Amino acid sequence: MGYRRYAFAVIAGIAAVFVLSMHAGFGRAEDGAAAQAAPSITVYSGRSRQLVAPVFEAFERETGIRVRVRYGGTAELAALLLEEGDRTPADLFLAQDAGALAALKRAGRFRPLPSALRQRVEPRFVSRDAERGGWIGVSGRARAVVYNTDLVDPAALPATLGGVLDSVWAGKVGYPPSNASFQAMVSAMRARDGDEKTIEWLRALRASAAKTYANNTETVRAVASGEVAIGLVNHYYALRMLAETPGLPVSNFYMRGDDAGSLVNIAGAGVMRRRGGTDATHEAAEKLIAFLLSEQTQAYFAAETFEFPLIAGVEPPAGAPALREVGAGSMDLGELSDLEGTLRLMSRAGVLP
Amino acid sequence: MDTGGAAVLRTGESGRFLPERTRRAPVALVIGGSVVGVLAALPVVYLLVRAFEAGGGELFETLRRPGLLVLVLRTAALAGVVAGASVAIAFALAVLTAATDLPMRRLSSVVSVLPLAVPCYVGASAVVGLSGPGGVFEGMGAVRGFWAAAIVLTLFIFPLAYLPLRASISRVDPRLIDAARSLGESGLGATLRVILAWSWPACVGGGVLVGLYTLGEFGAVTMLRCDTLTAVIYEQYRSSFSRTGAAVSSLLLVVLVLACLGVGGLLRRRGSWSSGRGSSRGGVTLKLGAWRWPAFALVMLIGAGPVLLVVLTLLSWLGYEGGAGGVGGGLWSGAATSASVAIAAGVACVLMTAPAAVLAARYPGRVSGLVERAVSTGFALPGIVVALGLAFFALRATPFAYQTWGLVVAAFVVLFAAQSLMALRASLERSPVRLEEAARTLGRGPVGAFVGVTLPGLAPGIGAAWVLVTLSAMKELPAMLLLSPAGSVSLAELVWSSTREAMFASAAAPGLALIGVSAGLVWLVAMREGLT
Repeated sequence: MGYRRYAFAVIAGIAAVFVLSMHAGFGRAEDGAAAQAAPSITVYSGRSRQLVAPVFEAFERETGIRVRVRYGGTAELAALLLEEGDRTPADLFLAQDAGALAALKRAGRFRPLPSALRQRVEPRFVSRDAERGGWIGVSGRARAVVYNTDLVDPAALPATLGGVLDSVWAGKVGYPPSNASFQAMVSAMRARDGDEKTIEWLRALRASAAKTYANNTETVRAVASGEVAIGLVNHYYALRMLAETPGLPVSNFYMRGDDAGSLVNIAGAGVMRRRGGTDATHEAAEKLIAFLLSEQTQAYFAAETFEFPLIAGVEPPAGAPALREVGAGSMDLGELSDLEGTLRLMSRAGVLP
Repeated sequence: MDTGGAAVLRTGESGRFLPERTRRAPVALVIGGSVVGVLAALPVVYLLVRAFEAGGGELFETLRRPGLLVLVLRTAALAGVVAGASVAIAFALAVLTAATDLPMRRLSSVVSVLPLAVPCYVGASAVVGLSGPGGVFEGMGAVRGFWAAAIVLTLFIFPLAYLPLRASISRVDPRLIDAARSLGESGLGATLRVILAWSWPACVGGGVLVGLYTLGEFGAVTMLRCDTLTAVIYEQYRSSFSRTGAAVSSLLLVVLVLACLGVGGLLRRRGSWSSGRGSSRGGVTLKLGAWRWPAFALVMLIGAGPVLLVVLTLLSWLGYEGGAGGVGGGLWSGAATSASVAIAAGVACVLMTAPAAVLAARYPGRVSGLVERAVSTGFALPGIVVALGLAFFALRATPFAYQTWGLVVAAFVVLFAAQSLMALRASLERSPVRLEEAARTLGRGPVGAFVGVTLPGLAPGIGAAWVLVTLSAMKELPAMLLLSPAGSVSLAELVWSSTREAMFASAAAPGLALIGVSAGLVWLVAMREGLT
């Protein structure tokens, strides 16, 4: 009599197994013969499904190449790729920032990029030695000074990060120290000016009673409400907010000085070295990068995320200048991977716990 | 089925039944019980490999990190506070729903488990949303920090302690209360003391479980900006990519787990006594009188209040532009995948931990102790560590199983076996051994006696074990993201990937679906498995 109760669990279990095997297959049968008919590749995407799934779908329609995607955080996926080594099933890694790409490049995980691809974007957005193995940017994320248009005369805005420390800005600056893009800027500063100058700048910023926020969005909100006059953020937050709420008193200013304030970071991709890779899968992965750098996809990124297109001939996002007017950038993005050292420095300066 | 005679109160040296300690466990049971322990220990082996591969240098570098002690203490304090508060709430609700004439007891019981349907990261993001600009609590100041994290975690995970307590209290031996009365103790206080003493192992077990969960929690603590060891482990994966620092911090977490178990062991010993005969038909019903409806309202407030708050918040996000879209057809296949993997993980977990639970309850000893530690460690380790550890072994030993659902289920067993083990063990410890022995003297074999006599009484425990694991698996994120076959969709991933881009609106639909499917599971099991 008591057994009836267990029957429920057993049936549920069997049903689960059944649904699963219907669903995606317990194994990976499609790796076999079917793969040769229509090539299929695996992508690890550190960019979200909402954003890039439509791009992959368009690619599948256009080329007939099947794309299987694992979505995850860029850092988690990078850790997994490092753990997998050349046993990885991934053919391509699409990352949200250059730091993770640089770490994988250092570990020798990327295949060479053909010159036809490399030439599509400015050299500053391709990793050094990409012909021997490296990554390429697919969209640009610029540092910007977001300012309250009611409180600030744009002509008076600081042209460099040093200018932010001027006494007229004391108590009027907001920044998100725990945010990855702010930390990337500090990494760039270290690579350019050395640790000593960087820590001095951070300490001076803190001493000027600059206010800290949890993230870029909160920083931009604080600027919009007038809580602070300017904020050190990435460029797309203000653009996104303006698109949602036209008339907000915020605008972006792009520093042009030859320092980390003019950093343009990227979201980028690289083709993985892997044991199971064939000419067909390598070619398919390169085709996907070419598709990411096509006019239609670049325009899509600009419209959806307000990021800068990296190829010539595509309009910049609404409300932003052309990329060549942003960033003085002689920064090597490959030097931004020492985030650990940056975090240690920031906590020594007292801007992070 | 009167076992005859009055209940015997006895304080054993370790609070266990005497006869079993003198018997040796069957070899098959020891092997069967160890399997889950070995599986759960794999991530720790992986961590040792990663922590020491770069030599001792980075190990000491990490251990010398400034502020590490504060971090460890804060993590331990959070686990302690959340565990204590959860047990207090769970005990009150369990008494009300299992030992009183509360109206609508079945509904109350279900509602008391309901908070488990809400992932802590969703609860936290709702709280952050509500206290932010435009939120209901705007102006109360940002809800952040230690106490915010403690309150949010308590509100959403106390059912981890409620389920075992409920199972235990529903079997309180009424003769104990009679005995207390006959000794001149009377009144509500005495009754509660008896119930507390009776359910003490469940209190401690549930508290330890909540504490372990808190140690490994990531989403809510980071969202509420209460840095714990787990948050730092994620930070290290993000910042160094070297995996050594993260491995060292994870090993520190393992030390905290062992400390947590140690405290649990001390507490268990201190307050434990048991009824020598056990009781299979127990249960008491206190009369609440005029307090019946206020008590009912309290249960609803604690159980359904936070859930309702989160659901309403998500519904309001759904109203925003783009709230209903963005996910589209992925929602259904995500729901199907999440539910099937979670159900399979629940069944696998119960089956794999059953021998370990019998071993722990009937033949406690060194092996069962080690299994318990291994399984508890798996529960407290962050999902990313377990996922990377299993990837490490699967790629080397069973490459054919890599990136299959089988490996995801294995990861869920590592992560959640502790819940199943605890529920099964508590239930076994309260079932009368003597009946099983009687069956054996009447000619049944050991397995036949167990299946025929003990198993039917374990239904609530099995149900509880299955619910706990299935719900946790539904909500789990990192292992699902890293180990599932590429191309699959899960609800947790849909929620996560939208909150990540601060597109809260598109997180609403999958978030609601996740809560809905989980709540449906709670309901189903509460109705079918006799939780009530």
